[in-house]
Amino acid sequence: MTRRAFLAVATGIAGAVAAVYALARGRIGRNEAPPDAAGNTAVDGLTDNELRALTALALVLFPPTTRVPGTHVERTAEWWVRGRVARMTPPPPYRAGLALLAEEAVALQPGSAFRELSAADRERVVAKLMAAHPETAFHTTAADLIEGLYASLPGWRLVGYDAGPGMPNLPLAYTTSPDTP
Amino acid sequence: MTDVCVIGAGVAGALVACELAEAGRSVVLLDTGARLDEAAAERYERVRLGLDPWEWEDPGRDAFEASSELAAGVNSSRMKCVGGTTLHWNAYAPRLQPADFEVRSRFGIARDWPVSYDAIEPYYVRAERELGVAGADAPGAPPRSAPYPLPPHPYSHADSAFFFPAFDAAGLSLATNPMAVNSEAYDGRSTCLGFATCWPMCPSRAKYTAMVHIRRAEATGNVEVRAQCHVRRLRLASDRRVGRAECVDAAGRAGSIEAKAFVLAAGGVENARLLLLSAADGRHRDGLGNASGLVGRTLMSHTLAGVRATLRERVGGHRLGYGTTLSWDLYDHATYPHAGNVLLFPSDLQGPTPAQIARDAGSWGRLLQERVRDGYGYNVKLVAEGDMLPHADNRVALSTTQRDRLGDPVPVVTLRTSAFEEATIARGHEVGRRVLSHLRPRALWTDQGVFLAHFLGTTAMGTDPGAAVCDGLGRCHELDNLYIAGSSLFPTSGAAHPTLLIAALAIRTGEHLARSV
Repeated sequence: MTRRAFLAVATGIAGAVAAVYALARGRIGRNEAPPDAAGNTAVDGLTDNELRALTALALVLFPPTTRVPGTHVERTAEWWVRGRVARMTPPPPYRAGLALLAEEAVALQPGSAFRELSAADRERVVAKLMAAHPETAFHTTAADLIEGLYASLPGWRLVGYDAGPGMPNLPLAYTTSPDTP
Repeated sequence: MTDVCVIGAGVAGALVACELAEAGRSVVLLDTGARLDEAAAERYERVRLGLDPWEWEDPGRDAFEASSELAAGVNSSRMKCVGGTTLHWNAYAPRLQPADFEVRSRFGIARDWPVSYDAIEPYYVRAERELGVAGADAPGAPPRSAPYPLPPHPYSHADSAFFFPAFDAAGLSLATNPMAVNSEAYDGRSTCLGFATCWPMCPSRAKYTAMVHIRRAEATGNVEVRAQCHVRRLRLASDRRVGRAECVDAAGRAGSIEAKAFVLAAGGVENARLLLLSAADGRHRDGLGNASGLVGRTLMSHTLAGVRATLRERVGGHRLGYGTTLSWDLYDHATYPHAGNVLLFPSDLQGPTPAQIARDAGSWGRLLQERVRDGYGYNVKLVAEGDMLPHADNRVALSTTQRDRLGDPVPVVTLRTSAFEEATIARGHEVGRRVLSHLRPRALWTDQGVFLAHFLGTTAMGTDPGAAVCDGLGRCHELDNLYIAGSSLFPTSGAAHPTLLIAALAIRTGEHLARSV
């Protein structure tokens, strides 16, 4: 099979899987409640604001690189947290972790949400929370996000692969040196 | 009346049922577990989300007692469901060597099989075709009368760049690893797409599972599969005939199934357990078909001697879910009767993944990225799989203290190693160190254990009814219409994964039953 043909097949399969997954999610309890007073909608138990805060946190925990742009990190983080909330009982304590994040953001810059801080201030907030003892829900949230990012495409691309376990790969990628450009 | 009732829908039961059904026989195929879609998108999504894709264990149904440390992990791999443990197996499909079938005659220990390698060989060929085994012949490999149905998987970078030179320097050779994973499209299933999640599941269906034969059997219209139908007892119609299987369905309703013949294919632990639970008067007072006293006895597995190394260059692992080579060189019975054979498997699926490094690093951001980049990808392992002898005290018995959800005694499993197995493990460690030292590793260390997915020998075949439970076709010596399929039939373990031989024997038994029932 040629590389082009393989990519076409793999893309088709990945697309089919994604489509089936999207359809299945529509039938397996996607929690879409009406918006609250602030206009937030809750999807799978997380509001839009919470999802945005989590993806902003993800970008601090896994800064973009030349092989892993910020959009990949954000998309992976959102997919990971949505998937975990929908399937885990209880889900990771994202909400409690985000509350601590929000508290520190406001303490640093009154009235500001975490994602509204500068990049340097976001790092300061995360560093302070990570250094705290004993461990809090923030540590659990951060550890969960780190696991998701490094177990998925961002982590595998960081170490030089184009795909990782759980993703279709080029047929003979495994026969080549990992350091092949 | 149904022609054959098959108890257990793993690879053995599926192949027997399929053989019978395609010959026009009516079959009821029972399994205590549920029916699962092995490649469901949701299941795959769970794997990607770091969640377990399978409902591994039902404590009420799967309870057991371990009377030895090695037996503690009985439920760590076996899956009770339609399709059985093949739903998550790693698909390694080597053959045993001819001498494994004549251990007593040749070396004065253990026992002989009632059939020779030459008699089984045509069924090995069929089993490789049925499962879709990719491989190539090699010096030292078991002799074969036909080529593999699929070409071998190309060697990995780790094999080409590291293991081949290391084995060569140690005076040993490598060959392709026979895998029941498609190396090209085959049997209506995809070629391997490199998902590298073979364990626990293959999203592309390139890896063989027994569901292939379950579906094929059902397509004949002659097979009824009943999931969550747990058989509690086999009841006799006469002294030499089983009349019915008493079972309980998912709703707890008791029932029974009559058939002209029965095939017990529930695995090495449960085959023995059901026979013991089904004890009856007279010759069957110690268990059905147990006048020899051997039902449950001579439990075997395979030893594992691992040597791990951290190398100085990255090996490119985790891009395929299986190793692409093995070495037949030490599967030669040269150390019998004092130590066993070792079948060597190089592996680049070792060492922490990026996520595992990240989990343990205690850092985040750029610092963590640096640690992961620096720490990932240098680890390899050489696994030496070895034989175990059929010791009578390694066994499956019935507990006198614990019962399952239905009130039946759970199995008590005893598995210990002897001097033979310890010497085999030592042999594996010695050769592993010798090979990997040629790679000038930064670190080298060993581990050991047993294959907790392999339960062999608890209803062994043999020509002498006083020294075996079944004959060469898997028919119980004392029962005209009860057959056994699976690794519980093995009189010796060999040093190779058992699934391909399970399949070969099941096809042979099914073929015989189709003619005779």
